[in-house]
Amino acid sequence: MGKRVYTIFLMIVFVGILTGCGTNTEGGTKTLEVALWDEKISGAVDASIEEFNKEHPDVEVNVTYTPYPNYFTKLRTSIGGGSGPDVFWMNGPNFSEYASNGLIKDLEPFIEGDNDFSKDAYFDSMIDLYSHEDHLYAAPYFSDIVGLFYNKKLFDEAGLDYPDETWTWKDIEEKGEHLADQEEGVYGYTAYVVSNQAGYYNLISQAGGYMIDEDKTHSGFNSPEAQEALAFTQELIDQGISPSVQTQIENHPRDMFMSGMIAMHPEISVNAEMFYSELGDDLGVAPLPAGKEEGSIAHGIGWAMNGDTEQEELAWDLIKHLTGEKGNQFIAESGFSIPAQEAMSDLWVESMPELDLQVFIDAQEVSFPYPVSQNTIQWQDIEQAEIQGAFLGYKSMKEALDNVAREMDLILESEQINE
Amino acid sequence: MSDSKVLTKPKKSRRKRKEAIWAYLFIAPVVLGLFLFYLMPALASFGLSFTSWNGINPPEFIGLDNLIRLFQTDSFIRSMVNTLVFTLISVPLAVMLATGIAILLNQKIKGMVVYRTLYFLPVVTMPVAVGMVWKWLYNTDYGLLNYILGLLHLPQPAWLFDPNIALISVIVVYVWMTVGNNIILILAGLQGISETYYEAAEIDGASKLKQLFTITIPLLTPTLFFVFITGMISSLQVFDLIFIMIGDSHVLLEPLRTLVYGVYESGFEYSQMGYASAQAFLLFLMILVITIFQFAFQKKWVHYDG
Repeated sequence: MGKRVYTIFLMIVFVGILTGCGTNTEGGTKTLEVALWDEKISGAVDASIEEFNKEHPDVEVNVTYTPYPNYFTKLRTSIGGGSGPDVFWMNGPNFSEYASNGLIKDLEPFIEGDNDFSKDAYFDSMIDLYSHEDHLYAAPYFSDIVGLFYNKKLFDEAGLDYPDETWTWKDIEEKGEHLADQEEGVYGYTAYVVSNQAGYYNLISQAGGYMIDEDKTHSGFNSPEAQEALAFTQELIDQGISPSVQTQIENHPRDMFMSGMIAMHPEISVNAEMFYSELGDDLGVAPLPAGKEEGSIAHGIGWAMNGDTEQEELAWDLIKHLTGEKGNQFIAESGFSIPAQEAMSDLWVESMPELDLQVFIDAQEVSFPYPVSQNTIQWQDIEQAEIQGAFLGYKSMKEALDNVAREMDLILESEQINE
Repeated sequence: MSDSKVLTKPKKSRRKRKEAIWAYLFIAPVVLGLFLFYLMPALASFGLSFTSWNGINPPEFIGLDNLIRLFQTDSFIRSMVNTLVFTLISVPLAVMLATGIAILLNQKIKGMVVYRTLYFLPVVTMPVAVGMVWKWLYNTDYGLLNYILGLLHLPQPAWLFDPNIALISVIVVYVWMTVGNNIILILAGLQGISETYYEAAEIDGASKLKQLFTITIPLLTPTLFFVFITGMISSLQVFDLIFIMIGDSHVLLEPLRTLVYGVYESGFEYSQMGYASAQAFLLFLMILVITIFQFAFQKKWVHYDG
């Protein structure tokens, strides 16, 4: 008797807990969950959702912003648990892993039956970045590309001409030395090591090298070109032209540039607006000084669709609103970054007329691809630990680069087996 | 069981059973919680440690491959050594400091409550806040610590960058953070020691120092034992402090990585849940062995006759 009461009680509690965990109320209105990390773009996103709601007044769109350091951890956990947002931001380092595991939907079937969406409208670099086996898995939203930001006030004080498209590595060194003022705590240039995308990735590519080969089977980090690029970085630091890597880790160069402590700072276009609001008319921008080759790393953000979403038609329609002409216009006008549709880029250039933003649009013509493979994050962690370790004097650069190449080749090899 | 027993029992056992039901009802929430949120995940994690599960696709049984891979990985060996070194330095340091301070705080002087509160403050502060503030204090170029050293014309080390002192820098913060908790426990232990021992010792002419080593410390050993065990278990699992202070920089992390950091990295950054589970399981084994060893060793130094 007592045992039965006990068992029944246990069962009630169990069922209660289990159903409590799994409640998934499906009310009358449909909802779409949207996730991204950068709140600075919320204005443009909200405007696109408003447009979407004009056509679908019965659909509720919930937007969640998660700061970047936790964004992909949270996304992966929620998708692994069978839920997760319907539509979300994707970036280069994570893209291949999500696409090859079927976590995000192949968009080709949607594109085929749709006249509103044409891949031709977008920058090639963006379509390439978000294609997996020639199929588009994320719709390009905006592009970020690297340019050289500079502080006009510091240039005027040193009596130097502003950087232009004729500049090369040699100019960085010569002018940088002029601009650096140790007593004032001013540096000439950021030999960026804590950001690979805005830093040495560009230098390696400009030296004629690559981070990963086209087949994604071999690392390029132990090549002579990579060594040359990092030796150049080292030289700039040793001469006091650039903040040391230790200083870069403890006090982010981006913040130092905004406080007027650095004269020239290579950075992705997404920061243009933040720099401008901080430095105002003192801010200038120029193409990245060329090495053996000219150009800079292109990357960008795309909208992906959850592989398990139950409302794929609605999700696709939302993605189209976000990445269509209107959506691009909203981004362009907000000044956030280069809209992914080539034709809309002029609008962005006009958003901050005091800055020569055309530099970033022209850079698209000579861009290098952002290096990715299936497990990009894994080898990038090793890459940063090894290379920064060499700069901090834990080991020689040669040894560090050999380590990166060896470990990276192992990761790439296991990717081939898994496929 | 004999028949007579069954016959004589019903009345008593009925009441007892009824009581038992109530007892079970009352402990049910906790037991269920333990079962659902501790035991089941722990067992699942043990099972998963023999699989290659990426958190998405169904787990695939791979036997002991995860463990074999772990012992071939330099960074795992390093994290094991780091965790042990961290524990072996931080726990004895925290316990010794706490004992000293607790004995001082066990006096009857004015404003004692204020002192006790001050020592306990770090314990109730979030580790995230502690980590952030200390990170600023340790900043090489603009940190308060190096600013003061600069005023005194002393060398200004790179606290978190020099691999030789980075571990010590983090241990200092950890000890600062945990010592308050130990103090409270040891204070309680001190106040449990009967005054009569000291009176007797006083009459026999024992000095204060002699009293400390022959009365206070021996009678405090059960508390010290408890503080040691719990301190070891939590310091073997150190994660949040390291994550906040240097987790965003892989180059600083490498020389300081701990076992739990490895679990986090494999599981949630690289989504290798099986591999992460294997690490968690090894950590569990390590803690178990160390704790068993401590229990076996306690006969040598712990006195329970208070």
